[in-house]
Amino acid sequence: MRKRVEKQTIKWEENMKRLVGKNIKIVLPFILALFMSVSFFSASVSADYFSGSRSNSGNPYAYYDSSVSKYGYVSHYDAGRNYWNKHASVNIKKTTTTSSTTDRYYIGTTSTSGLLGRISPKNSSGVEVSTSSYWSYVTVSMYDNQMRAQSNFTASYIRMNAAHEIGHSIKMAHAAKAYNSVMPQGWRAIPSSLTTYDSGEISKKWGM
Amino acid sequence: MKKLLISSVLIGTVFLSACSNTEEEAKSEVINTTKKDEIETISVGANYLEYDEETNLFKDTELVLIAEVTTDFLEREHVVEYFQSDSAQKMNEIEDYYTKTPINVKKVLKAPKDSKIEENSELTIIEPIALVDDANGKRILTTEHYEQLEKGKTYVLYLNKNTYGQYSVYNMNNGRFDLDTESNVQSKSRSINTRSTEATEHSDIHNTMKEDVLQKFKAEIEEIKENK
Repeated sequence: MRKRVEKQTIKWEENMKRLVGKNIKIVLPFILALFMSVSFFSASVSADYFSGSRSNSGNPYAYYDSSVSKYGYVSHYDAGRNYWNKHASVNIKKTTTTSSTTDRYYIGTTSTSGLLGRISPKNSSGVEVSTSSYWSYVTVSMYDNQMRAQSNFTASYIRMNAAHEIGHSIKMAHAAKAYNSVMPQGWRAIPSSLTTYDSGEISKKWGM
Repeated sequence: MKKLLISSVLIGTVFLSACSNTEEEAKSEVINTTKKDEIETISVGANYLEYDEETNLFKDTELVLIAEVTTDFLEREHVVEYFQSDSAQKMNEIEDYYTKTPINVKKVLKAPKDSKIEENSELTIIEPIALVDDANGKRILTTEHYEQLEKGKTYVLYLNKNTYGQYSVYNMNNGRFDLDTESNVQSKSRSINTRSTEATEHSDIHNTMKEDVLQKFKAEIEEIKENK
């Protein structure tokens, strides 16, 4: 078996020598580097997470606005944080104080039909920034009136929505519907534990 | 030694060029600026009930219209609501934003039995985009790259009542289909705020759905165009 591999390697080198002449030792590393660059960078562009960093990386602090307890969603946001906290690189900690690097969780209402939740990445002055920018903090909102208007207004569905928005807050982007993930759009039950797909995307973004 | 030096230079060049391409990709995601008014448009991420097939969207939508937009974006009523807690007020944290967009109904394609919406009547609808002008500056906020309806253009609109009894565009950009231009609605917002593949996927879905809309309401659309 090894002999066959050696033979094939020698044959390939001979063909390459014929193709590029005596400069094979110079050209080979170039081709290898080109291959590595193309595969590495194309993978990073098509991944389901946003580029750029954020304060505290995968370990942001979360402040619950008084609207969260007022509407009765504390346990649902807790479950959303805990979903992602099962990954070793994520630890979204609850805090009772705010700063320019503390994420803020809210419950509100919206006039847009079908809108379940929304995030706003901010700079340190509180101005919205693009998803690829550096985020100082993020506001995470879920909409009580729209969730209540859905069938299956249950804890499991609300928690999926919370996990989805909190996923955005740690730079996760929307995933295609085919994936077993909380990041595709929609209203459905939360998976029983962090899915392989979501875990993989976190590892790609924030490391193991 | 010379060969080694040349190899190193080549490898370095390849990696640097790849890095600069990625940098360019990131730069292209910087917030879009509307040419006309030079106001920044910022798109934020959201979770919404998303439909990628016209038949399912039609089934779950109360009101489907062909309508012409009668007001310029900046002339519409822009509504911005803020969270009310002390900490939220300090940071001007926005709870909701939308525009109230007047339209002229040209054709009713689907309506509830008790609907009083008639052809050639005016209706005001909700769009998930607004001009915000507060202590954090003047900017246009939009949701999931939603692009405002343009004055003078005719659209097929999929609308659902919100919990306040107002009709709102349903399914973001894939609930409004421009009948005046062939260009894709997603093309303008492709450069902002998303991973590259997501924009392409949305663009493809919009094109497919628009083809289905044009086919499904072919007779009604032709009638409107003849009378224009």
